[in-house]
Amino acid sequence: MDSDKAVVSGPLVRAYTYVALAGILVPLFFALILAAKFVWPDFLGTVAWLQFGRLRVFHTNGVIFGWLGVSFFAILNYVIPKLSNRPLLSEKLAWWTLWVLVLAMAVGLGAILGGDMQAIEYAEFPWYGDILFAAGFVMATINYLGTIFMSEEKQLYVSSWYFILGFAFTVLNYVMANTIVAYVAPGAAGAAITGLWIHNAVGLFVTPMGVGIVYFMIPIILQKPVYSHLISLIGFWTLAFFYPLGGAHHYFFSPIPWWVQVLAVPLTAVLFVVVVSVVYNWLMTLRGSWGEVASSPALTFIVTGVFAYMATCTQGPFHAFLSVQKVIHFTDWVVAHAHLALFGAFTYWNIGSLLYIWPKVTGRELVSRRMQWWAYWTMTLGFYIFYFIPLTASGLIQGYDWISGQPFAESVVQSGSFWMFRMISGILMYLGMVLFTIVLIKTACSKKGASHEAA
Amino acid sequence: MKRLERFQTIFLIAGIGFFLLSFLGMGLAPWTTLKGLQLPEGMTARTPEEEQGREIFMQEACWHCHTQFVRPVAGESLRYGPVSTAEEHALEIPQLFGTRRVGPDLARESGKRSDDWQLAHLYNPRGTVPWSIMPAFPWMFEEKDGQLVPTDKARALVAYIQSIGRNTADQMKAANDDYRRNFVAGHAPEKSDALLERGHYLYARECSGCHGKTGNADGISAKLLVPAAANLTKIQPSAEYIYTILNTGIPGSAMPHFRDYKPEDLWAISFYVQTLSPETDIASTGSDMSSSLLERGKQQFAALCATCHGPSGAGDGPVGAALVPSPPAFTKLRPTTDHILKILETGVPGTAMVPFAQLPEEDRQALAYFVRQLSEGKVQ
Ligand code: HEC
Ligand code: HEC
Ligand code: HEM
Repeated sequence: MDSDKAVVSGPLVRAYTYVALAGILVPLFFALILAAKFVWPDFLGTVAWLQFGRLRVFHTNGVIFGWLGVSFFAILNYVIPKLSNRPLLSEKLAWWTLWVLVLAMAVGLGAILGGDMQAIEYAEFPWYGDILFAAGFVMATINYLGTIFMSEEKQLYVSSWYFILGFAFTVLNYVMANTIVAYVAPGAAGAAITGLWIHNAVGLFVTPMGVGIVYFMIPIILQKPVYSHLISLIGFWTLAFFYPLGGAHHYFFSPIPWWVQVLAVPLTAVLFVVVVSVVYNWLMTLRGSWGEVASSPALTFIVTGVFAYMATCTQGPFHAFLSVQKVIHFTDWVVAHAHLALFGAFTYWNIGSLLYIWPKVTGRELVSRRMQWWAYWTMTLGFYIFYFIPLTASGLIQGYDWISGQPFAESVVQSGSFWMFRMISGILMYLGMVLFTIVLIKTACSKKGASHEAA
Repeated sequence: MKRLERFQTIFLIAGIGFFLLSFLGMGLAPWTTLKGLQLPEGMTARTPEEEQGREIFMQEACWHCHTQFVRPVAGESLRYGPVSTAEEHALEIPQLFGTRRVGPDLARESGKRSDDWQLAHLYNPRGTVPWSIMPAFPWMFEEKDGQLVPTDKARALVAYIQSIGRNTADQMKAANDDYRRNFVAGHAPEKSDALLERGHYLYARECSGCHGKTGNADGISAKLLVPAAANLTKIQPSAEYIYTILNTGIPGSAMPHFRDYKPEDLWAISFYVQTLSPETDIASTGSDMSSSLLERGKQQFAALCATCHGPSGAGDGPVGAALVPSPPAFTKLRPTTDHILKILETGVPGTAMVPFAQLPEEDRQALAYFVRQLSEGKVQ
């Protein structure tokens, strides 16, 4: 780790991290209002820009691009130079990328609150927001892939495979959603392609970034090599090949041609192989080091995320069984699933990774281990007890209510107390995030001279 | 040589290649099989106003809570209507199938509800559906001379809502008409306290937005419903009458049907609604009663009312049968005297019921007296 100073730019990582923190604290704040509106629908109900629909879109786009996107980049600003053993292709470009992304978020999210959005899930930015975001993303792609390609290292580590795949794929995927889906493909054809977009946004942007980062973090924190190169290969290539083909599973039983839907069933089920291989590889790497996990908040976040990832991707193939799909589709179940992935897995990975990186990019030891544990436990209990379990349950209730032919009212009335739980969970998750933020900021402001934390 | 060992280009090609594979295989291939779809009969292209409404639907993210396709599973065709087809969506760019149902699917919404229901619902969903958690859109309405009027936005949005799935609207309406014509109330269960309590609960949950908490039609939606919701404190209906209306709704008005509820629940509501109007017997008209008054009322009724309300007051007059909304059956409900006098003075805006304010006071008294006789014996 002696070469930290040489290849990694501390200010860059820190600036990205601060933007990412804003990228979660602001959308999560709106999410609290959103959760309250499920319980008291007239809460702040006369303010147009706080209308439920606009807040929901602000929340989803905010956390996916503003938090996950930017925090991935913050971590990549550290990981990619380390893996490539050279500085970023252009540090200046990285700064510009950040400003363009900030502008894109401000413009895009502002437009959404103002009531201007596209009707494409997870791509609701209007065209001018799209162009800004695409510009920022392409700049990031050039910089990160450029760094990897210019590296003099002999081997290309598995993390880098995922990064290259994810960036190359996502540039094209993003353009596809915002041009073809938005303006060209009609009806069922549009839905098939929207399904690809939704699926590939999580499967070939969020997933490879996150998995790549975990492939870096676990071995480096534990100071030991990844368990099996062969399994790494299997996990990677099955993801690359099968994941992009399952998009239609977001529109089962819709007017999309039936053969596409039928194909999507096995193509989704086979993804189980991806996750089992990857997670097995990580767990075998972790074997014998559980003591270290338990004593390190950073590792605990990451490993909890690994289990959440495993759970999410165990749910996923089941969703594709048509008998399950019939019940859970359109319900809170799917919302719980999506949060298990995006919060339970990826957000935890990023928090854990930032906790590991932060001392290296600030030159200070992390403050208050106690506060880190408090952050972990408020988030974890808040999410699992008050979010995941209640919404999974209300999803089942909604699904079976509808099938039973009862009045629609029942599904809403019976969900009421679960939505109340979700509101509580929001407060706890928010609290955890605030604690995490305080840890980072207090560390950055603390006295210099502390040595690197030996994880 | 060094570069080659890293195989980095392979991963780049994989990224681009697998994207193309997925786009070609799972995007373009289904698209080509869908080329050349014709809009089904009755699904005309949208008017500019409907198009504007669709724009608002997208920008307010209504589609985050409402899907627009009926699946062939889970009994959805019973709940919503015919299963969706690709043809119906052939012109939808971008498509609005949706992925989450906080609220019901809207693919078969065309004609399901009256325009005034839709407007009042947009203004505040709790005004028509008290249990609703849908957001209110009050900024699409403005106050003008003490009146609440929808803006062009609200009108465009409702025009769009009424256009969603309009190709099946006639079919759905015909099925509904059939249902209403053939509806038979069947036997009422035994009245009980538990039933009344359930009725009270369901009334508060389903009816209070329009008919008011106490039944006097002062709910949130009062300013927007035409015809106004009936004042349930003044009509003394029979349980069977209410039960029938709850199953059939009143086409031409905002009054929906509630036939998704099980019969027991609807009877419970009916019993409860009966308790909203004070029980008075026929005699207590508040005016002097005499057979001459009754005779006079009878003549006036035959001359002025029977074409619509029917010779016996059953709501089946030659003109009345064709009216939408149809006239009430005085054989099944017994409005209070003051209510009848008020309606004779003002009419019922939004229906064929015109005011009879020019009639001499005495004739109106006589009519009120007569109408209250039409329900056989004591309404129960
Ligand atoms: C929070 C999610 C939510 C949003 C956003 C939302 N709705 Fe709703 N909507 C509901 C719920 C729940 C119901 C069922 C209760 C009711 O009828 O109000 C409903 C019912 C409806 C109905 C009546 C369906 C029927 O026939 O029973 C229509 C029409 C409707 N919404 C239109 C809209 C429009 C137009 C918008 C956007 C301007 C919108 N909704 C936004 C949740 C939502
Ligand atoms: C969306 C508003 C709305 C809701 C909700 C509603 N009603 Fe109505 N109701 C009306 C309107 C409007 C009329 C008057 C129709 C007319 O004048 O032709 C009416 C008429 C009636 C009538 C007929 C009265 C008469 O004079 O013939 C009865 C009975 C009734 N409603 C009962 C109920 C009950 C019970 C519920 C709840 C289960 C209910 N309504 C829910 C709007 C509503
Ligand atoms: C291999 C593992 C996974 C499989 C097989 C899988 C499968 C599915 C399926 C079939 C659905 C549709 C459910 C429905 O709507 O009825 C779904 C929804 C969703 N999944 Fe996953 N999933 C997996 C992992 C993930 C991961 C890792 C993420 C996040 C990065 C994720 C995020 C989402 C989101 C956001 C939705 C909701 C989409 C929407 O309704 O708009 N999933 N998943």
